[in-house]
Amino acid sequence: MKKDYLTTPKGAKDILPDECEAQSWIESRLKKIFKSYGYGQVKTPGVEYLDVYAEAPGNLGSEHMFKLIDNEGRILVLRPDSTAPIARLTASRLKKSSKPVRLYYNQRVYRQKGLYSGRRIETAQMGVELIGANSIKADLEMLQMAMEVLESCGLREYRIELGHGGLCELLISRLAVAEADKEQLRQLIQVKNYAALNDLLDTLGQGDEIQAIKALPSLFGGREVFDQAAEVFKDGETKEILAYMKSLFDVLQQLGLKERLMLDLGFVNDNDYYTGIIFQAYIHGSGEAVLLGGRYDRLLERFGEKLPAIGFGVNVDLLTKNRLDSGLQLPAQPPQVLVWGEPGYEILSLQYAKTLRQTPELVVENGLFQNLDECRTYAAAKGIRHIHVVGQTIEILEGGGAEK
Amino acid sequence: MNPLRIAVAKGRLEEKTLVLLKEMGLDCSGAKDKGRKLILPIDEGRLELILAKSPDIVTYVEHGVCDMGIVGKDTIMETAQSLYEVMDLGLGCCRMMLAAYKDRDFYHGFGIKTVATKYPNIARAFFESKEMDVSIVKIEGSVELAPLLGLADGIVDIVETGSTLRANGLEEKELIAHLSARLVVNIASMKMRKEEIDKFIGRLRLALRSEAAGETKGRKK
Repeated sequence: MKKDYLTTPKGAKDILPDECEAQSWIESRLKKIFKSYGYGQVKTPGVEYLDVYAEAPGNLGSEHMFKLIDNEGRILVLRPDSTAPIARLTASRLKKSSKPVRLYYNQRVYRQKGLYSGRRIETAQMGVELIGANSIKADLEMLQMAMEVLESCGLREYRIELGHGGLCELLISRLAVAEADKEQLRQLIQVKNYAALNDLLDTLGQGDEIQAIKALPSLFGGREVFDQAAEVFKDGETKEILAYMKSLFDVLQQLGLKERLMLDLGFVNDNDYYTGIIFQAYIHGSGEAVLLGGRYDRLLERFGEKLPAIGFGVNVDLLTKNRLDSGLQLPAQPPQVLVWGEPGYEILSLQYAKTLRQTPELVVENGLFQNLDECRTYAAAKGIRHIHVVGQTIEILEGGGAEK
Repeated sequence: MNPLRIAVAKGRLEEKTLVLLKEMGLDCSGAKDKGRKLILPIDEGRLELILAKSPDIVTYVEHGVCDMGIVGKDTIMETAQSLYEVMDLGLGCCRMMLAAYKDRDFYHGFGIKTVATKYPNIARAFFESKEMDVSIVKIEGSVELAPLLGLADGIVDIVETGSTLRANGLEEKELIAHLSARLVVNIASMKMRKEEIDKFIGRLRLALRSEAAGETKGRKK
């Protein structure tokens, strides 16, 4: 018989002590920041009704979720994202609380990935949601926290990219063309396929919108993008969005982002989920964004409360990997002391070891062996420096790994 | 800073790509006499060239272990999920076609058609866009064999000249896509190393232009 019980499912993995340490280090940094901004932690169930995710962003289609059937035949999903459940709980349990509501989470999410794609089905995520506020101040709070998250993890060369969820859709919605063409346009803008986009737009006619859409994928870079955009965005609505982005951009520069801040106006909004700014952070050595967030003013409405909201999620696994790769996470040290009680002194030995552990940072293991020789062999193998032998007196012996 | 990594499809496109890189003024002597080495330093170590099989290029670029790749549109259509496709190099042009028996209407009748292909995702998307149910069979080798042996009604495959089709009594029925080599870029690399990548794209564009100019001149002679 195939031994399925010796391995983990494809795309899942065990996390061993050294990696756990690195992950906890990241988690403790983020938690400290979130709490210091006044965010309270929530935990949502590992399973939710599928309906909670009915209007999630496009990359979260139900085909990417793990599904279960409950005993009444309803479809449940293994939590694929934390924002929708938090919107649900804010609109129900926290309905009467004063706004804005500030919440953070630290929990794993599950998504189906292609077989042998090398992607994980389980991701450790932490994030914040600021619900009930819609202003430049709220947007700035999010971006300032995002900066702090990256910097607290020791990252210097990160990039934060700012975009807008409504811009592209606004321009496309004004074109009098078939839905299939619109979908094609979205796809081409998303993959920055300038050439094919130009070809398609040439067949769709002329006009300010066409020129603006043509420019979208190349409107990406530093502050100079605003000047290029000013040339193609001619109407009041797009100009207003641009002016807002510019004021945000300038404040963020002053907050110290400088050349690490970028602009990408060619962001395509799946399912109209994002209603305002969106932002993503990138670091060296990671092929995808480590942090992703944006404004989603329509999500809460689905749960019966008309509340604007903004939030971001951090991929803790990618930050953990970055920390491990950087070599900054020191490998776990062996315990310093092994306490062994001679026959008849077992209780005393337990008490003695407990007293020793009161010294901060001191790690003391109980020697579980029959005789001292076994203790010595074990200490040598594990690199434990000292063996304390508890008998009539306490004798301190050199253990193993003293040369380390 | 690590060198930028660019993955290039082995085989058909390899030679043409190398010519193009030379045209860009990059020192490609590292790619000559490569022996069994798989990662080749070029442009005095500022770039690393990786020769890989097409579908692997998409994998490497999407995972971010290569910053850029030069790969056929067919592979992008079949496997890519999230990368930037920033440039059409106009190399290795051919077509993705639906082909079937000559003098027979592929769409005739109400029965479900069976289609053989090396590109099941492309075939599926094509028939889905027609709201048509088909049964798709994945074939690894000469796809033309499948209709000849009676396994399939038609095939979805790359056609360059169409001579294999003709020799086997098949013909092109419908164009699915024009294909050529594309420059693809990892999403994070595009942000983290924008200056270098922009510079590379600029040089590549110039090289393509001068090559095109050279060709027209050559023809006039």
